Amino acid sequence: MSVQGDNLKIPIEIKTDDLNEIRKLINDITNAEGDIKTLRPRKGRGKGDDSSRSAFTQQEDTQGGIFGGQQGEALPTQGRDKTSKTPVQKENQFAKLQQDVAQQEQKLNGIGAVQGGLGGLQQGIGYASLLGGPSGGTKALGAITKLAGAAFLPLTVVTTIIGIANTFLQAALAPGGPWDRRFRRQIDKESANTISLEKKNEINQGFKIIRTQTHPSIRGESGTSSSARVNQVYDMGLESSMAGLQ
Amino acid sequence: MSLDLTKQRLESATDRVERYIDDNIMVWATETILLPAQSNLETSISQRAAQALSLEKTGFMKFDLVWDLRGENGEPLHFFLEFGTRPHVIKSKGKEHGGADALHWTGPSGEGVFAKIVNHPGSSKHVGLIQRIKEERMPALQAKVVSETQNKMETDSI
Repeated sequence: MSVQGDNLKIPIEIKTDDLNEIRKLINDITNAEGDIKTLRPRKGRGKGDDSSRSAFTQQEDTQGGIFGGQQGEALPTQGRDKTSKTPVQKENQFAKLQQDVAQQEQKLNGIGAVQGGLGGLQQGIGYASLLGGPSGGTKALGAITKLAGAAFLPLTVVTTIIGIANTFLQAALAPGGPWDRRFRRQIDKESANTISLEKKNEINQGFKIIRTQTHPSIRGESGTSSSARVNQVYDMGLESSMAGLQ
Repeated sequence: MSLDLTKQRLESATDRVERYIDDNIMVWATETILLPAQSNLETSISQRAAQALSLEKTGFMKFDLVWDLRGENGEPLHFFLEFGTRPHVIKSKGKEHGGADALHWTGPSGEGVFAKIVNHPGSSKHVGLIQRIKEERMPALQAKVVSETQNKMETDSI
């Protein structure tokens, strides 16, 4: 308590060190940022190069640099071309397309082989019945022949239907197709599942900001539609409106 | 090196959290301290005493609870109430000193009372009132700071 001037003044101060929850929150944020840093590409020279004076000498397999002690690769090791200046070698898209076409052809050939196999089976049974003569075995073979003959057509139809359905599903589920799954919502995995994806996108890109506030009149979101402003001011857009920006 | 970086990251997170608290501390203090305190003063003393209470930001995450209650002639009534007064004598100023020859006030039954001298018994009814208000309301403010900061950090992580 102080009596400076003519007023009665009671000083109040918030210290984050005194609030356990805030300290825990800061620790959590720090840990999370540490985890993010381990995923980012490392910069600087390698730690193990004690012999060279060059600051740009590349260390191939040593961990270190300014984030010394962190484990794990920042970039994928597969496809990395260590002789080139480019750290990651891009795939040849044409070669990838060629490979896809070859795979599709293999699948179609597989369906043909199944149909061919059924035909061969029926043919073999026919030969066996010719060679077998009039015995009990011939009757059994005849029964199998009838069964195979009856099964051939439905099996062919089923395999053809499966092939067509498979092709259709692949086309429909592919990026840009009518059933493209990339933008499907996974409500149970989203932390704020009541916010639409469009709004989240606007928030992530900085077009809108969310402020939690004790004053009901200024609670909620504020949007600025102009890119002329660098710092967004939470004023429900009034300031921008008056300036003619909205 | 690793320790320095950890320290730097820690300071960065602390700085962000503290800046958010500092930006909003006055709003939270108004809600958790000032408004309830004004309500208390209005009930226990008067509406004018409640209106004389305010908040004043003095620094980073710091503010003062200021009470400035004056009498008709500018007397610092807030001091008399907060620290109390000893028994004392009140005399009329007299016409020769620019005042009146007699004291006048309204009695408990509404009638006018006149006297040249009054022996005031002193006042200790409201001693330490503002200090007590601060001590009682601080936990509410701290809880507000914690909850709002956690909400903010969760919102930022969407």
